Amino acid sequence: MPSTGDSPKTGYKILNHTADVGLEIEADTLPALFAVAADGLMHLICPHCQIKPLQSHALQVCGENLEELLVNWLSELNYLCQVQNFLTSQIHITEIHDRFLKAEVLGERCDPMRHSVRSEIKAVTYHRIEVRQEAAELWRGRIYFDI
Amino acid sequence: MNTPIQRISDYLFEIPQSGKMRVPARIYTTPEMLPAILKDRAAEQAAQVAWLPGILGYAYAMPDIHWGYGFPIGGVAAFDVETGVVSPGGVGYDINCGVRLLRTDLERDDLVPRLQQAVDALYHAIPSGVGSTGSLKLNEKTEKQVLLRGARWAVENGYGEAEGLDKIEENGEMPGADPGLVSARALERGRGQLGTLGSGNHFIELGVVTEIHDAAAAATLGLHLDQVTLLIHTGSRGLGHQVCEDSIKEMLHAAQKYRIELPDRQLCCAPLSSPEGQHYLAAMAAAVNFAFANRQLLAHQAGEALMRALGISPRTLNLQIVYEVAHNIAKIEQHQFAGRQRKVCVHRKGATRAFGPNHPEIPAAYREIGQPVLIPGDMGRCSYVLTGTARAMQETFGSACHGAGRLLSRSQAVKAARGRSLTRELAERGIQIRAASHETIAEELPEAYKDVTQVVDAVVGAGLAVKVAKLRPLAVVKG
Repeated sequence: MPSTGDSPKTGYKILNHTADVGLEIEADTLPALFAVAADGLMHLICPHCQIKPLQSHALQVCGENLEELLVNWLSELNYLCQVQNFLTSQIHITEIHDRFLKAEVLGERCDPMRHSVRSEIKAVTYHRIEVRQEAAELWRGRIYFDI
Repeated sequence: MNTPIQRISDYLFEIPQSGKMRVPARIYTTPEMLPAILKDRAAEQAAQVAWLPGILGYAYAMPDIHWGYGFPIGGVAAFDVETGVVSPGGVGYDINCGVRLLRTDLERDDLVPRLQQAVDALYHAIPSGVGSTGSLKLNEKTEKQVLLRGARWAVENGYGEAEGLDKIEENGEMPGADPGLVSARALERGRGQLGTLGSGNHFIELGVVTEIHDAAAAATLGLHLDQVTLLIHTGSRGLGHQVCEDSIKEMLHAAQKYRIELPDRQLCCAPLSSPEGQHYLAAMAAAVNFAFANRQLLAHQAGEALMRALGISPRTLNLQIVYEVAHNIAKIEQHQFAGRQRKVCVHRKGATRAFGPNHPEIPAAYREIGQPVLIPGDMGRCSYVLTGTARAMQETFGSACHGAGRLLSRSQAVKAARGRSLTRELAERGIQIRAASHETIAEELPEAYKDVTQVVDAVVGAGLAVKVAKLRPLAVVKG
């Protein structure tokens, strides 16, 4: 798993799917898990190293449960990318509980001369979705995208 | 999951009804192709579709079946309008993804010497690839007209001729669309995308007719050997994706409200008779019309580009629609089931309507031969024109396959393409490729797909369709 934070068990693994793609995510806290998922999504769209943290967006997302919250959170980032051409490179989750998430994301507008956008994510799906706490400092999840 | 499966015939296999399945699931395929199908979760997904209330007959899967999300790709399911459900996951995110086939008056020898100019012109005229936007910028009022009128809106605004609209499913204008039920976010996603190809497996292909299997049907469709054709594969772009996303949120709540038990949340659904079910059908129809307009614009833009590049007149090119099919859609149709006429909602997700001869919804000129069924293959092999049969009407609610079906995941395809120049390999076989990115070409390499001939032979062997013509690609613009 590529590490995306200080903890060695924080990261994501890309799951093969015949037509689409998924992520298996792991972190020591719930905010870290949601940040890892966002990091994995952005990795599928464009290499992080190409994105400079020049602008910020404040996001607030709701959901009926953690799974719905995860889908809505990643859908929001995908919307920013699809409609506002905004590529995210840094994620700071400032508040999260079962039904609500508040975050600040940093990145920049897509510039085709500098950014090699790899995939268009049509949508974040509920197929086989999971968000679960397995131990005091171990959160795991799984999510698939339609591409 | 180890899915139990029984052989019914050389072309048909059944997953027996068990657990919470309301009907068995049936997969049309051959013993040779079955092991690849059983490698991923596609068969398990077909069995899970059989859990849904009001399903009639079987949960069907075509030989191009592969793992999707919720429903498998290549899945067909029909639901009684009174007791059944509608599921956005049974249509997919790319609502009315579909295929248009056009014929020309050009012969292979007219095009081949100028193929590079032709494909370059198509590549530059058709916005393609990730995040592509078109030259047409719609305001909200105009966009809502597109959602109501579909391909007819495009024709009325100067993109093509009205002649030929009857060769599109629903005449290119699905009734029942309500743009007021399409969210602001969906409208925003679609606003700059009309007249764009998109990315992934979408394409525009110049091809040539290389085999005629049914001379009379080919003549009816205006197809002959060595004739140059144009094939367009795309859908409703971001607008459709967002309509599906919005509907799934609503359906998750509806499934709880109506106490529908789901094996996978992506199968969320609502009774067809409920406000949520009716809401989805009206929003879906709006996205369907966006896709019809999109393919109409692309065909018009492609025709203009070819005339410019080849220096020929509209009369010399004579670009005419053969037919256009939708392969991600839910439709209310009349079918004979269990000895009586029933009104049903047929979900086709990666499956094509294949109505048999004399069906009133087939254009009058084609009624005797059955509905044309367009089956694009991968960019290196071939595509087929088939027609639907009476047997498809009896067995699969008038449905057949939609393409080759993926075999390799995208990362497996990229790995298989490593160290190879696919553009050169294909050029050596006489096929020009243009794409926005090398990665797209790698993900779409021919071996990433099943052999479309095997898929077509399976549906033909099962009696769901009849072969009319085979097309070979000459040049492909990928998204």
